[in-house]
Amino acid sequence: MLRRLYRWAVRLHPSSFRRRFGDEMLYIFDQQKGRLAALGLMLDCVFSLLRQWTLRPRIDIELLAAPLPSPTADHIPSFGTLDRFLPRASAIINGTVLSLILFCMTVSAIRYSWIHVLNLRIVRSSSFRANKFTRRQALVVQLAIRLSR
Amino acid sequence: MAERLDSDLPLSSAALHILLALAGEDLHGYGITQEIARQSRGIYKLGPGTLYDNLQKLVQGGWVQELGPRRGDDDPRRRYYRLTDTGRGVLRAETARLTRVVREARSRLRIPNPRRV
Repeated sequence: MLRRLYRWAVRLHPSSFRRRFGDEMLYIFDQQKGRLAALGLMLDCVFSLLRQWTLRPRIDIELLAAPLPSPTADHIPSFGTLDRFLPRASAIINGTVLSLILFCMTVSAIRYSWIHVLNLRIVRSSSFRANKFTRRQALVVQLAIRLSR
Repeated sequence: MAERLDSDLPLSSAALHILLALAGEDLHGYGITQEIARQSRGIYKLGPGTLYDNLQKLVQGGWVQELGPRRGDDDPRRRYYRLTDTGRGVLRAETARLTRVVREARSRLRIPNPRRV
């Protein structure tokens, strides 16, 4: 289970890094004994993932690069970017902060505004009875509402 | 050349330990982590994410050369790395810098220098 998670985390690295070092990272993971050591490597891999996508420029060096493995060979999808270079780290951080602020403002506006855009009426079975709906129709509608939540 | 090397200093702990591990012989990634653990007596443990992130930078900087897998090795996934002459020069410069730091610290703390045998 942990190995599978680790392989997922390795697969989420930028393609150039993954192609060069992915197999070796898995090899080192396989050499570790004990759940604690494996958890430590998992944490290290997550930090590496953040570092690679935010701080490292996308410079591909094709020195002795291994061939690209088939994405469906082990039934794990692989991710990559078409662009060879990432924007500056400061631009990514600024964009993240602005997006979070905008998201919080939107959520609070929906929650506390006078005009409720999403004014959903909760339909209860009693109202169906009053409108002479059959019991089966009421159950079907209730099920649809539960599924839509 | 010396000025250029000095501009790369000080090295990060990970980079210093990787260069130091490769100073003896060519090693693969797992071998580097083992050697670092041995040199630091188990205090400094380098995870693969940190190791390969630093190796990527060192290879790009021309301090370490990637040799690829060896024939007849146990596992074909293992690739070997070698310290280049530039990398060795950087390691020497860093060692000299650290020696100056240790000398200064000994003098400030009034720790006697160890006797030469």
